Amino acid sequence: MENKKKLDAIGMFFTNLRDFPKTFRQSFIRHDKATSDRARSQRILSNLFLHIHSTKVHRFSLKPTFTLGLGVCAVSSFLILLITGVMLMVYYKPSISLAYDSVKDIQFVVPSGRFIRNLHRWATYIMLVSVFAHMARVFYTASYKRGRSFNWLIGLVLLVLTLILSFTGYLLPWDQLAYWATTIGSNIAGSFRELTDALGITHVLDIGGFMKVLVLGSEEIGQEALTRFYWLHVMVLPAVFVLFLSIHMWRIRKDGGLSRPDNIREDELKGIPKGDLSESVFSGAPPEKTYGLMGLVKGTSPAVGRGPEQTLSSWPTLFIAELAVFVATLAVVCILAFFLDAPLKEMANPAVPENPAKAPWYFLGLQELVSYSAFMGGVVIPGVVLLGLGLIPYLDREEQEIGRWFDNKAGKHVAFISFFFSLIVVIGMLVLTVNLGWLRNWFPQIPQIVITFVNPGTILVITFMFWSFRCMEKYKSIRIAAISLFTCFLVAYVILTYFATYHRGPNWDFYWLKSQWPGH
Amino acid sequence: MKIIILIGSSIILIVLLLEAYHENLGMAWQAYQTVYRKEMSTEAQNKDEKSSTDRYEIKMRQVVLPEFNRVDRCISCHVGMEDPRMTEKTNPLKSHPGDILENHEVEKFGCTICHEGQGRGITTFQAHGQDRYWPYPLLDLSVKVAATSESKPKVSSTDLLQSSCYQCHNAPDLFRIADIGAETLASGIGVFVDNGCLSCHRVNGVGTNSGIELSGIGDKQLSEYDFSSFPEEEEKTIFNWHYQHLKNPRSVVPTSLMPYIDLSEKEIRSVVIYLLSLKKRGYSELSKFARKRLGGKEAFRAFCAGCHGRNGQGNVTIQFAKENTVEEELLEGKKDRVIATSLNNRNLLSSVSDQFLRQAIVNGRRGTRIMPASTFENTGIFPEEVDAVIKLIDEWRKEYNIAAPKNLDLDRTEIKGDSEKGKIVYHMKDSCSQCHGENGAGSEVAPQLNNQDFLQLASDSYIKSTILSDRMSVPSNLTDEQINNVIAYIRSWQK
Amino acid sequence: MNFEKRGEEEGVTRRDFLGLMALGAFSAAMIMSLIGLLKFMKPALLPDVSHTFKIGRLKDIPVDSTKIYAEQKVLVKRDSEGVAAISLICTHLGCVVKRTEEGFACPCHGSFFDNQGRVLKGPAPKPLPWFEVSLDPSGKLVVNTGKEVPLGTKLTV
Repeated sequence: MENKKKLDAIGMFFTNLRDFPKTFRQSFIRHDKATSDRARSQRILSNLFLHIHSTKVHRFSLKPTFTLGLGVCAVSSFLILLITGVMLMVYYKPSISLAYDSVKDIQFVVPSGRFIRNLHRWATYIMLVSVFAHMARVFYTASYKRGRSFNWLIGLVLLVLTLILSFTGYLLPWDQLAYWATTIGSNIAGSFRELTDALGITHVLDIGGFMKVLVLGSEEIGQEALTRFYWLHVMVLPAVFVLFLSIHMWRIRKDGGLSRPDNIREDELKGIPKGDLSESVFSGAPPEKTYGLMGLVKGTSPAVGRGPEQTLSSWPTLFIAELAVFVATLAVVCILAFFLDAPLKEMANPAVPENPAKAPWYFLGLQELVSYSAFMGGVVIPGVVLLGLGLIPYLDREEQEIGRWFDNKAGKHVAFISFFFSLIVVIGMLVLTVNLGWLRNWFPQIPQIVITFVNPGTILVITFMFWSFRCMEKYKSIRIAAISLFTCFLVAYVILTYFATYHRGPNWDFYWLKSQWPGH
Repeated sequence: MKIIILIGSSIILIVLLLEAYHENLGMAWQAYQTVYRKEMSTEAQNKDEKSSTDRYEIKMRQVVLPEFNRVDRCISCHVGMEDPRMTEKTNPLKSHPGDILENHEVEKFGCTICHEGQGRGITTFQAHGQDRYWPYPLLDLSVKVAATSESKPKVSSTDLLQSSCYQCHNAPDLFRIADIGAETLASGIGVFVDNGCLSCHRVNGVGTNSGIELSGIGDKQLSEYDFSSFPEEEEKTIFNWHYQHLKNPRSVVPTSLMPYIDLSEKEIRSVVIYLLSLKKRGYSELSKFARKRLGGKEAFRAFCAGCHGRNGQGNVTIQFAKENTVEEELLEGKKDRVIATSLNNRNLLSSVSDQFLRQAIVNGRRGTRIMPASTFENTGIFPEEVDAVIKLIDEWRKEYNIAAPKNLDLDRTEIKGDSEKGKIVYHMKDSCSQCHGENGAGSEVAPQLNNQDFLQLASDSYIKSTILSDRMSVPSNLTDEQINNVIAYIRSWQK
Repeated sequence: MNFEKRGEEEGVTRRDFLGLMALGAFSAAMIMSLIGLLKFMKPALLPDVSHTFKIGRLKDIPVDSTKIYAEQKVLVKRDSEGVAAISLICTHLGCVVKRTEEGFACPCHGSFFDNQGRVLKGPAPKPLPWFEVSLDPSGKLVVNTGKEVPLGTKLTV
């Protein structure tokens, strides 16, 4: 008896050994071929990386002209950044005496180093642009409504994190460009002094000095600052970013998928494949399978009654779409990286300032305002804008159709006229200041506190606010006011960024072309 | 959607393949090394050489120089540098000319330490520093750039290369550089010292700091130079900036206080080479202690002549712009004008003692712009050199047939006078204040009198003798009483 | 009905062919990227000081002399037969061996080698390696610590 059992065990051992390849495969691929809806759903549910998607996706969410693929584009660039960033860490040395040389070596001799560094650079740009565009898309389709207000806030956090991530990365090559851009950035952090100096309380309450030391770890940019920026750029911020990104994605599912109109006309879904309705998710399940309600999906009514007629299985349609966006993003980044090298100027030299010392391009709009008042342009206005963006879903609680660009005719109209209004105001302001200068050119003795509060930046903000109130009054709608204000700020940001990038030269003077800059 | 994936993936694939080709097959150094290997096998004379040729690998090559914080990859292209068989070949296969590699082995010193350029680079563009963000381009390259299209280069590359020697060969003293065969650099040092540059400039602790500190000037990058007033037709290079500045200071820096010095083009060139060799990136600091002692004449020329004139005649000869005469300069009344007393004149030499001169040198004139306390700590002048300078001044006395000075400064008898009346005389029209300024503040043409160092040094009888004499051709028509009153007035400033 | 069905089937196969192409291109791109990333990890040049170093001209090295190059951890000796270079790094675990009367001794784990570098006792698994000595075109002797030669190999002169 004992013997037989022993033999059995030995036989079993060899059987298991023989079956090992099959059992091993089954242990991590736990679903059948994707021939049925059930198998497709299982495929998603049983995979950690896929299960952030729901198993069924609404056909409207696949409409390319609705999402423009911007969110996926941003995530794709973030993935590219993550991978290339980790690769660059292999050779980068975060020390002020070695950093520049190590970047040169990456550029010159590390196999595919130049390409990977360029990918990292261009993916940053694509990510910034797509993040901004994604926010505009969500705003203009009113997708922050119906329980999505929290996710809008998470999105804002992600926007700020994206900006700080790319800004901290800017210093790491330790070249002139990096050094002086960071000098400007850290002095904006210290620009609270402009206010406290004017009030004469800097010696009591030096917020600016405190912020600057917090950012740089010393009074000047040096090894301490480089260490801090490196620490933030490669560890802290990416970790926090991934955390918030997960919440962002998770909230999309919990809020009932992407926003969509209540009444979708069939012609709006032209070209989007229909789901296979011949079998339900539950058909084909083994009889011993039990089901639990894992959570309540938000929406006006549960989907149970309505039937799944406008949905289709996420696998493979949604994934193909996402893959397409990823591949397109990567292709664009690859082309840019192949042809355009990321800049690397002279090694940082604290004795010789760059002229003009420009911040990275996404901050140049702010730098244009900073050229009047560092505190207003660098701290107050961005603060007000962020606060305003955060408050939008809480102040605009109107019940309305969501998921359509600019809502309706009135929305389109307001966006249109606000676009031209802000275009004229911003360009007019620039023409005025370029030709006539500002208060200090007219009254040389004017105290700084006056300029701090009365400058092109503050005037633009106040003009836009008045305009938005006018719209609110006229259309009796907060949403309309929000559209007008958002449009104004977007237009101002784009124009100021463009202007500061291409028309500001040495000493922050105006030039039509870069070729007109005085050479030295 | 699938078509996007297909097209996108194909683009990615193509770009990656292009990049792979670009990086692994399209490099110039591979071609050069292939040619070199071929050349070697044709040159090979016996079996051993043949087999060493076969073992020659085509790969990126470099010299790692941790102590210089450099990595030089030049030898990836310049493969035949140490191979005497390649003498007749052309660059980059050519072997290094001359025998300098005999004691400057490539494996110990690399290339960029002498030639500059970007050692980390592996293409010509990167390595020769044509990249405009590399501040130290290949030295030969900056020669080519310095040549205007019509004229030939202002300096030869062998001359320019000597500006690198000083990084290591900077000890024990300024003058022994000639021993290593860097003649241009050595003569540059000679011209620099002999023309009194140290009177205003300081190099590694030697000289005064009235002018711009010159230690480390060779490290200054092109972007740090101001070309805004630079002559239009001239090439904007570092070499040419110094060249033009020495030729005519005010044509490059309109507010320059540097006097015009009459130097030949060859002398200017050698001084520029010396200036460019003053690098802080150097690997041993010149010690002011290790300097050779100068004789009286040399020391005077090095430390004093910049202001007091080459023969001590005073700064009447200082001329700022090449085309201006001294009179024009005086008329312009340049506010920043520096004034230095004439030393080589009969009145001064006949009236003061050696002690007076020594005190004046060692204590300087604190409060004035320029005359510093010339001690070893301050200006790196050795006490022996001070002695030698005083001896030199004594030689001048002989030229005036002054047997012995009257030592008026030692005569401390007080001259009595009314300082209130003296004040009036002092400030009269065409009187003392005309040149020496109100309240003795000094002016562009005459030294400050309200100066503690001066007042302590000068005795009443010395002042009286100076007023009575015709120094600077200013005869005095004051009465004896008036003079005594003025002296009392001047003395009243002393604290 | 029949027609429709056939059309559908054709559509399916065409789409699948496209899908297959797309998948193929995507996989190829990803494999290529992976190769690129893996190549990135292996530096083209090591940041170490060169393997080869010069020891001067033959006439500067006296016959029957030995000299230790401490930085490179190499012993160079010349006898009547020629010049040879022997590594001073113990083949056991990489300590630097010391010169003794009868050969070399490793202070770490007690390995002993004779003058030729052969193991006399101790845990060392291999004799001390000999390095290639060659004559470069300029007439100087070069030791290449990157290139091992059989024990006893000398550059005959």
